[in-house]
Amino acid sequence: MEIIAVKELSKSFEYYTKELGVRNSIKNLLFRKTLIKEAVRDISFRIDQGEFVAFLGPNGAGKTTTLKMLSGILHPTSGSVSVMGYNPSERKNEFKRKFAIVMGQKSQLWWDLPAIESILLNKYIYQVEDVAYRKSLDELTELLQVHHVMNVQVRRLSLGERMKLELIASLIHKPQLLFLDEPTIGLDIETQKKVRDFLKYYNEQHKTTIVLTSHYMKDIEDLCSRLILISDGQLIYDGNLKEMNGAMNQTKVIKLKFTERVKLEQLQTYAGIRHAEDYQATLEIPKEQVNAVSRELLARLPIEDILIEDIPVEEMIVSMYQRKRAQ
Amino acid sequence: MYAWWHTLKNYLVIYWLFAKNCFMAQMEYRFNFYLGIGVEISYLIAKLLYVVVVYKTDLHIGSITPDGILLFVGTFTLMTGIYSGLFFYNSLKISEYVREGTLDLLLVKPISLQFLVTLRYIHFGTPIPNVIAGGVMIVIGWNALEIPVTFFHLFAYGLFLGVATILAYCLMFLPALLSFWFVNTGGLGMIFYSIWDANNMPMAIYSKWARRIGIYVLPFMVITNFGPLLIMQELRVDQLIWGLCVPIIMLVGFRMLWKRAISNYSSASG
Amino acid sequence: MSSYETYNRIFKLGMQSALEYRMDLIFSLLSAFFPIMIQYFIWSAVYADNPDQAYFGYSYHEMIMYTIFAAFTTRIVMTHVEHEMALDIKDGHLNRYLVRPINYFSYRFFNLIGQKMFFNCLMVCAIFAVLICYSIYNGTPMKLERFLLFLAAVILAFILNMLISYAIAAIAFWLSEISYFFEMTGLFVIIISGGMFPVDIFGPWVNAMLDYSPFKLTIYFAANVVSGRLAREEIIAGIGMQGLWIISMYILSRILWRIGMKRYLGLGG
Repeated sequence: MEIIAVKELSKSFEYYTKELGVRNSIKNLLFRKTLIKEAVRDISFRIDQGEFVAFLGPNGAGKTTTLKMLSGILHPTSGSVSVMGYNPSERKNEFKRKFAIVMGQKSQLWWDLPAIESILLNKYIYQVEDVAYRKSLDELTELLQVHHVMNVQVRRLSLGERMKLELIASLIHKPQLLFLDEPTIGLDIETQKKVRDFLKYYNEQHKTTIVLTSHYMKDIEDLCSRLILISDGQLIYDGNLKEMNGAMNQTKVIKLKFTERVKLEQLQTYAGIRHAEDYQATLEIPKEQVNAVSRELLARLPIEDILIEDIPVEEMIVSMYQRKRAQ
Repeated sequence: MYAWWHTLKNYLVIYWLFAKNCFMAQMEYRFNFYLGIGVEISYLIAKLLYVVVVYKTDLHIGSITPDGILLFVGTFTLMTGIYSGLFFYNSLKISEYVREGTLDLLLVKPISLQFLVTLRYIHFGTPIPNVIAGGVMIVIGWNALEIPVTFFHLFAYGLFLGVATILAYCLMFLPALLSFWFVNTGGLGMIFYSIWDANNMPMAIYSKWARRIGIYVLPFMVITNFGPLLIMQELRVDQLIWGLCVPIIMLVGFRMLWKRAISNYSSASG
Repeated sequence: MSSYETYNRIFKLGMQSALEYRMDLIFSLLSAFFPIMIQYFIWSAVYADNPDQAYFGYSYHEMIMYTIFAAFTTRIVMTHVEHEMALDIKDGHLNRYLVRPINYFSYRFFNLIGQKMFFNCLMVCAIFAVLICYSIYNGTPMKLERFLLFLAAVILAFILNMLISYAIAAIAFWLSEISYFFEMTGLFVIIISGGMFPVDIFGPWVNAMLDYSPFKLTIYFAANVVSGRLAREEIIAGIGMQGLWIISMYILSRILWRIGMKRYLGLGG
């Protein structure tokens, strides 16, 4: 079942520049040069219920802006958005009760109070019935293991504990749809893993659709079946992470270790030497030639170890951005 | 009808939770709490100097005696307490929400954004001196003027305190609302506080034009003058009607401006 | 580099930061207008019934003049320097000045003059304009001598008030939560310095007590110099008193800061 449908979505806004100095301040008072930033350009995609989708892209690519348009915080300049059958920019309360948004850098928790107070406030704001509230709260505290910090003032908690409680406050009304804007930013590796495990479980258990933006490749590899790549406000890839390997990447990497010193000239017959020094070398070989080439290598060189790998996702994505920019 | 009642009840529960949370948070910093009261007391003393001058010079403004003036000053002091307790802190917060983007998280809540933004914080310490001193002055002035304590008088005075609260809300949030368009509105806020303080004296001492502006353009003077005038039986009928209409007009106007501000936020920012 | 150049630089830095906030400056000028207006109407009402009577020893004209000049002088003299100093103490910024070859007090002093220079000149011009209007309105010639004496009095009042702030700021060495506290003391100092009403309204007892303090010599004195209530000999005597108080406040505040600084260093910054 389709839960989000975005068609030819664009968002641009005006901004001003000011150069240094008093004279320019005065000049700005009289005449300001207006510049237009196109944050999102002509994006279309659909997301089905229960999917776990990642928005990936460099800083300022338009990920967060897209997320904000999906949740009704920003109005699109053009194009159409439909989320669970609603137009988000109408900001109907009925609509708002069905989703939640968590922003890694902004908190909805009251700083000087225990988190449980903020969660209770959300119960009334989202009009959650008592029984359902109890049940969600128990389940979430259990899953995230935060019983012991429930009654401690938020300001005394660690960043990781705060993020977990933030998640509880956002999920207490059992949204069908959850937007996460960089949920693991600044967390230590262990907490990142816990948050990821939780999200994965929650997505599978409750069939909650989750859309996430992140910088961390690990977040995306672990969690998301689907990837939407955005660069400069434009959509450059939409599909499965594994398919991206297949579709975008026709080469494999061969890593070699030698038992004795190998000279560069001995390798020169092969195109695509990435890296070579005395006892090791890395080659990039077109997929269909991999078998032939590796057989030949084993025969010709004093090989101790041979590894055949896909190009790492990060590298692939970076090269995709670069290709996009070059266009 | 049931749905309407249900919604109202829910908002009241939420407002109660706001109050509870604020109280608990302020108790976390008890020293600040007391110091806040101390600061408010020193401002109160500054305002009471006006009362000293009134009594020492035996000031009569038209038919209003010093005791009558005390009723006005008391109303002003009480309203200052209400304003500082319920609205002041929220109006400071608005520009912060806009600047730091916290507004985004409030925008997605299934509840009136205006309610959430303008009434979320309640201050318990700062209003105490003003409410107590204002109440005492009102009682003294009321007694000295020998106004009978009837149900009608209490109701009429209470009604105009309600009118005053609504007007205080609409007028004193105005500078903060402009922060959706302009980054720095602190200066305008300062001017509004100064105008607010002009209510320290009955409007009768001001010139005709100042009064007209203060009643019909920016209805600051309605806030502290109409209640006392009504129970002193000095309020004209046309003024009474205006006094009852103006909070509705202001609320509607404020609501329209609010919606403009929010849609501007959603359209113009990235 | 001579120390003149150092302090000249600090002065200019202060001026620049004041210009950064010039919109605030315009608004604070505008908001100064309202209290003057309120008090103008109050006093007009007070004197309306018997215009020739003197209240608290002031004729109607004197009272209006006092109100206007006291409001301006308050804005010239008052600073938030105790807040800045307290922040320096609290955040440990003081260390920066301790390790450099400049004197903290001098730094603050020149920085403050820079910050207030533009605004204060504006205020003095405004007072001059009011005086001109007043003499045209009354048909009496304006006495330039009085204005010059006022200039001397207001500069000394500024220095004296700065020293009072400096002494009060030393409390930050002992108290932790200080910004609220300074809000209180600031307002209190304005009131007993005659910034709202002439000190005379407090009655003879309080006045006799205040005679032994420096507060009456700031706003109250300067405003009365220009409003024309004081004779020339009284003004000269007052200026002499200002000088004496400046010296004693300087000594007092240095002592307080020395004690506070010992505590500050004792606590390890």
